[in-house]
Amino acid sequence: MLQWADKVPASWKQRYTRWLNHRIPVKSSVSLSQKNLFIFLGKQGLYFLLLILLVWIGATNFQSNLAHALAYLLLAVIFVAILQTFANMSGLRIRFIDAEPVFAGETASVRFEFASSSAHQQLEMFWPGQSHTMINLEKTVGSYIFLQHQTHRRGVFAPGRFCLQTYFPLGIVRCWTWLDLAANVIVYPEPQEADFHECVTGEGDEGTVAVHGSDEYFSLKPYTEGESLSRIAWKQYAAGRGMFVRDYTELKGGSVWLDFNAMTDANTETKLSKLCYCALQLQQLNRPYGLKLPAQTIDVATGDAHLRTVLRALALYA
Amino acid sequence: MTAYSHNTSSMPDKQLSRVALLYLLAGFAGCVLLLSPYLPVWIPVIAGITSVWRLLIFSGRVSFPSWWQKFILVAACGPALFLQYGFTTSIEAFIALLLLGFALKLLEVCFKRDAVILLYLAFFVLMTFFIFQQSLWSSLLVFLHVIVLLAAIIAVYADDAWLSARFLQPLKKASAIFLWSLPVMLFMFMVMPRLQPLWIMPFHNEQARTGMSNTMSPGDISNLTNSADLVFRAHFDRDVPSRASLYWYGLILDHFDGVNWTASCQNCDNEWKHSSEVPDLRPPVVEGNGYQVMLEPQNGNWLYVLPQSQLHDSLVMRHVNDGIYRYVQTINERIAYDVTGIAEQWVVDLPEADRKRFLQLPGKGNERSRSLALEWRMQAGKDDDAVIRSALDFYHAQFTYTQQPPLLGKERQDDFLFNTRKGFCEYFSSSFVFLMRAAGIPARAVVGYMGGEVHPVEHYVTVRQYDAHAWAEVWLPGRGWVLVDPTAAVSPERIESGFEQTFADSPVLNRITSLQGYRHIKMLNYLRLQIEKSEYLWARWVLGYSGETQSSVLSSFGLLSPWRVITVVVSGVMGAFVLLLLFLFLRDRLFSREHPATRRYRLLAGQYARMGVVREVAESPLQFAGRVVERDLPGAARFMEVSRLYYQWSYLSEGNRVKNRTSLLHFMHASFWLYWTLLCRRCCGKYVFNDCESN
Repeated sequence: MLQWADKVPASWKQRYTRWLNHRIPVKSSVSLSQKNLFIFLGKQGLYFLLLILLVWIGATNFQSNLAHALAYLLLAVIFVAILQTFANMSGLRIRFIDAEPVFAGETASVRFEFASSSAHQQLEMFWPGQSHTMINLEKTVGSYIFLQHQTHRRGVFAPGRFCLQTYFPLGIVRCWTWLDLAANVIVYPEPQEADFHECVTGEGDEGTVAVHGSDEYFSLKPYTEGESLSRIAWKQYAAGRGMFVRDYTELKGGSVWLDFNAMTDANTETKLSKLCYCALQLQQLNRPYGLKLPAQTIDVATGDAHLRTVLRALALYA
Repeated sequence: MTAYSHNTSSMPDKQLSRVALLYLLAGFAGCVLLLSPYLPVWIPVIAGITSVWRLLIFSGRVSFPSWWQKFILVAACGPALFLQYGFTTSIEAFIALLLLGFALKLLEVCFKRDAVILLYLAFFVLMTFFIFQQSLWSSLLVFLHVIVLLAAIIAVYADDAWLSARFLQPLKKASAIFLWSLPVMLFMFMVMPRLQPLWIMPFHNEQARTGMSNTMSPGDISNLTNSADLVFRAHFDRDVPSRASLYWYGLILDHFDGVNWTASCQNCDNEWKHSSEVPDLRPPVVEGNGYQVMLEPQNGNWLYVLPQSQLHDSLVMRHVNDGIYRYVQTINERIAYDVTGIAEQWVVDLPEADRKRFLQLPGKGNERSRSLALEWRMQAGKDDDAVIRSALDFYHAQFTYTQQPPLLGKERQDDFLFNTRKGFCEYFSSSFVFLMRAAGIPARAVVGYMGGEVHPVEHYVTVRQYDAHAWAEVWLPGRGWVLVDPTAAVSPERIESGFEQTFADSPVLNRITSLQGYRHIKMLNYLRLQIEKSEYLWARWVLGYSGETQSSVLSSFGLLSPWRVITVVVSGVMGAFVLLLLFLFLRDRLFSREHPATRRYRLLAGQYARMGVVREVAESPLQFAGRVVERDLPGAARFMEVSRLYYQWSYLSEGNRVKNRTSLLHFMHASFWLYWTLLCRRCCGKYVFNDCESN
């Protein structure tokens, strides 16, 4: 984000981080006050100072008392702006609530709770290099704010310190803070397309399940009103064969195991990504499945909760 | 409860929202309107056209101008600016350029970053307004316009969604900021030291203002007396001297070519010399009734003073010669200068060169006048006073005062003295000096103002253009320069009561638009005097708040110099800051905002921490108490009980917490004794602890 930031020696950065950690410790809930707020003139504030200097030079050269008064008025405006900008941040209480798990590469949406007894206007919130969120709070007991962060790798992702800043009202003074509210997101592996036989070991009589192109692995039932739109067979509909829904229920095969050890890929991450893909597919096919990881086994089951457990296990696999 | 958020990029690259654009236009229009009297007409016209154009774009009726339309506009404005101002780098040209740039910029898509820069420039343009105009009411307008500009800045910065729901919010916010800033501004205005100009700013158009001309040929002054414009106000330390002694010297004319009186080169001093080059022949100052003059803009550079006044030389004003003072350049803005006192008449011999200069007359012409003067000289012998008396008697007996004198022939003095015998001050002073010189008395004509309106209560005099006057000075051995006013011999009431009474029915005083015209209505005259008084106070305390006024005001508060004030203020502010920090530091310890129960438990945990069991950040009270029991620390069993009560109370939800009084009271009661027991034990040793425990 900041080019000059790359040129700062690493030891300085470390020292700064240490200082910041000491100054604003990681806490799940923070109340903004003079302890954790910083305030200084922004870039426009420096231009404003330059303007005051020009007005003052003009006043001196024309020996005009009123022009002097104008220069001093503008200087006084800076003082007032400092107080007002500070008041616009101070007193705000922020708490990390939760974040929905996402697949690696997706954008995580982290939920925070903002509470204050007064109004706060035009607060800007962002993680370095991520998209900015503008916040306006009326007098309020609490409201939820979602802040986005791009994810890259599976695991527990802690986005670290975010910046909360405001220039309100005049844009010449910046009041800011760097907060780490111990936010964390579970990041599932990025699904990577795979054939079932790569990662599935069957159970009982079914033996290996020949699954090719899982798209066709359903039967079609005429559509009746009220059924979920997500199950409509759009392909068939588009081909003009009428409105059908995909029906998975009749395809109850035997249960299967997603087996980490049975996979031939060399790369652990690839294995996990493929397992993730298969789990999602099986969930869609509504087939019972279990997961075998070297140190963990999750029993065969179906349903959303089960899927989440499986994905979580994949995400946290170490 | 509303809160909304949306993704946004950072501010500078965003386009201006519609509301912000309206604020920007208002800020711009205000600046142009305020400055329009001092700009060539076509600049406000172009500003109006582009503003309306932008409004039409805004309402969707026309589109942005294409590149060639913009090209034509710029191509037209550039040469127009050049034709108006040429190559000069005057401040007016600069303002015109700024406003024109602003106007043309309105026709482009405007980003927030550009808009902010434009608004900053608008503040600068607002400052330049004070170069042209400093009156009370227009200054109020300018300061009110500062609110509009601040509101525009707020609107430009504001988030669009926020702004569109709160159209007037920027104006309210700006007014609040303005009001908060005022006291700080007043304080800084009073104490901040002023510097001398860093350099002299060039002015372009020397506006045609009424005022004295630097020659006197009978006929000129009648133009002056027709104007009621303010020339200057003078404020006296003590009572205003009598009207008849208020001769405000402006210009001394010592050279006569038969038609015109002009200032000779020792006197005219068009070129600014350093004072060190001119020997200072002035008499020493005697502390007396000092006064301050606030001079309005005019087309000369003469500083008006009473005779024998002493004015401190400075970078911009100094004594030139013959007790006359000059400003460094044409007086384009209101200036103020202090006269510390009036010097005693210092009698020195008139140097031979000066004697020649003040006896100079053309070689020939006006023979009848010359012979009349010689005749008086013959009668009086060596007595200069007798010559002067004869002249004044002559004027008193034979002449009449009129504003519309008949034209004079080729031999001006002769024609006036022996034929027409009607005229006003210039005629009298011109002919009187001629006669004196012809009689061998060194004499000179003086142009300036006489009298003025004395304010009944305050110690000040208001001098207007119609108080313009011309008189004479003669050199008498042993007495120096003596003021003689031949007009007084002709028309004493003109001198004693001034122009207003003498010419009560003059059209100048009876203009409908001027309050001067209603001076006979008591109520309105009172109103007029009040308005004049407020303008006077404005001029004296705001516009005339010079370094010297500043030190006198400050010293009346016991503060000797601005620098000392700044030292006091800075150390005061630093001290207050340190106190504030100390307060904030102590507040958390003295006036804890945490719940008494939480605080109590924290203190208890602190006691055990001293004994070596430190509570972890995320440890629950029961876990912690478990560890205390494990170590078998004093009061462990009781602490377990207390922890259980605390756990019960604190892990109930927020709403119930308040209601659940009983568990809270139990906890407070139990913990109180435990805490004091532990404290006792720590302070007084095991024996006392055991004693307490048994209780």
